[in-house]
Amino acid sequence: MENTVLQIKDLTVAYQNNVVLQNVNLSIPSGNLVGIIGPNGAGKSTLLNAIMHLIPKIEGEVKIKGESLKTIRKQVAFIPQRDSVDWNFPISVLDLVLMGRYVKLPWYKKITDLDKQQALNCLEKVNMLNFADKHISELSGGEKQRIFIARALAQEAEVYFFDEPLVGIDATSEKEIMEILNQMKMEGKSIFVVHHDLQSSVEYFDWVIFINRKIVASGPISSVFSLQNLQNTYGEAFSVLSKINQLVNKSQNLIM
Amino acid sequence: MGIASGLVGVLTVLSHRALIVDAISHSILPGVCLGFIFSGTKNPVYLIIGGLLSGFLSVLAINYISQKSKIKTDSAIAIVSSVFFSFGVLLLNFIQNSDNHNQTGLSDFLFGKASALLSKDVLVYLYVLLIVLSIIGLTFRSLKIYLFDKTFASTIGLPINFLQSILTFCIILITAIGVQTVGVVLMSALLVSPATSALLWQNKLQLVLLWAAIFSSISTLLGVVISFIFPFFPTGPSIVIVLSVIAFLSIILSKKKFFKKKSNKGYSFYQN
Repeated sequence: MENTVLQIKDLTVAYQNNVVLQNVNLSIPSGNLVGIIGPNGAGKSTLLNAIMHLIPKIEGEVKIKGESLKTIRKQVAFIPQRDSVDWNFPISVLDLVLMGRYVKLPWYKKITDLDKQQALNCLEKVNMLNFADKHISELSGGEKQRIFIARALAQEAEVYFFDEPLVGIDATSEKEIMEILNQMKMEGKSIFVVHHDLQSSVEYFDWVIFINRKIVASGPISSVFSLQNLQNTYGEAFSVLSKINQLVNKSQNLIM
Repeated sequence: MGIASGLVGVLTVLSHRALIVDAISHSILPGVCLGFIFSGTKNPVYLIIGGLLSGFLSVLAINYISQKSKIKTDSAIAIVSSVFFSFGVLLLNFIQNSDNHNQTGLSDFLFGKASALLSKDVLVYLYVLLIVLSIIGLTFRSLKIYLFDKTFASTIGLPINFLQSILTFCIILITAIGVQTVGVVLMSALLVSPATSALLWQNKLQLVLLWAAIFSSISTLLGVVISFIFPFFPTGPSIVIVLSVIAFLSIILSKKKFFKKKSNKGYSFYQN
């Protein structure tokens, strides 16, 4: 298929002797905002890491737009978890975004004014232009996430992988970040987001991958968001929780 | 010498590997002693080669232990550095009890003695400075990304392992020659102290590097002068005292907060 952005065949990943993902098979059409959803330890981040060759895979094949990562690296951007870096590192916000531009430059070429302008444009897209000269330690969690997104935008990639971008972020920032991601989708980019919150995922994504050590379901949100799939992903606990939820709703109705 | 150690120190501190400097400097002693035993002279080139080799060996050992066993990196560093250091002290005693007249001065490796340096050594320092400067100059951008965000560096296809090795090489090289000036025990101060002081003053990597180099060379110079005027003051401690004064002043005078902010977790707990 020509417009398949991500194709995974029989992917198995393990840490030492502990198999985390088994027999993953996926085929995702391009231009979607895809949520990767599952409980803690289900292997969501592991899946991204395996796609980006950050951890070795046991077996299987990953193709992005029909090519291997090595040949298509420049069209792929990965946005790591916010906590993975040292925010006291001596660089400014603009410096961090410029790192995205380095992807385009050979190592011996200097940064031009054009690159700087591009980086500033990317900061503007995430509403962080006023922060350009600030030191990165002065930012809040949501602002840090937004400049990470700006760095990814500066890479001018086609496919974006976000690892838990909404963890530990206040509601306003979360909304803004989702707006940015939607904007990117409008521009025809394919976006993958590891996400932990089941409730909000209904409104955020148009394609969902349910994952728990293996792929439980993958498809457009309307067709896969069923109680059966949720139970298969989150286990028996989920049905108990949903029953409690119903009971609470009932009792509230009674009080009113 | 001061400049080079200031520069490499910043890279070391930013890569969170300050501990390993201590291990390398302790591990260099047996290499230096073996270099002396095999060459029979105090020619710095042989001593540095010996030091480099045993320094590399110690890093390999530390990496091997922390990757292949359940022992954590900090324990591995402690084990390896004490084993190498005690072996070095044994060799040093062995040399001192031998009849070789050249041996006088070799024990200065413990606390350093820069004021007794020969012009031949100065040339070696100059070469090392050039090597370090050109390495940092050529790979500056990649090093910056690598030090800040290894995951990102790897996803955009930077040669992670190469950068890591080049960094380790710089650290070992600087330590191997620095040990002759400040001695095994205080080498880590020479790398770590100017870097931490500079980080308190500056927010841009280039400027941090510059300031660290300045701090480091000022204190090396002052330290050497002090130990020259008062011959009973060894060089290493003099340099480190000056460095510590600078660090202390930086903590007091710089606008950046040295102490961690009081966590506001308790506050938000009541809010919820």
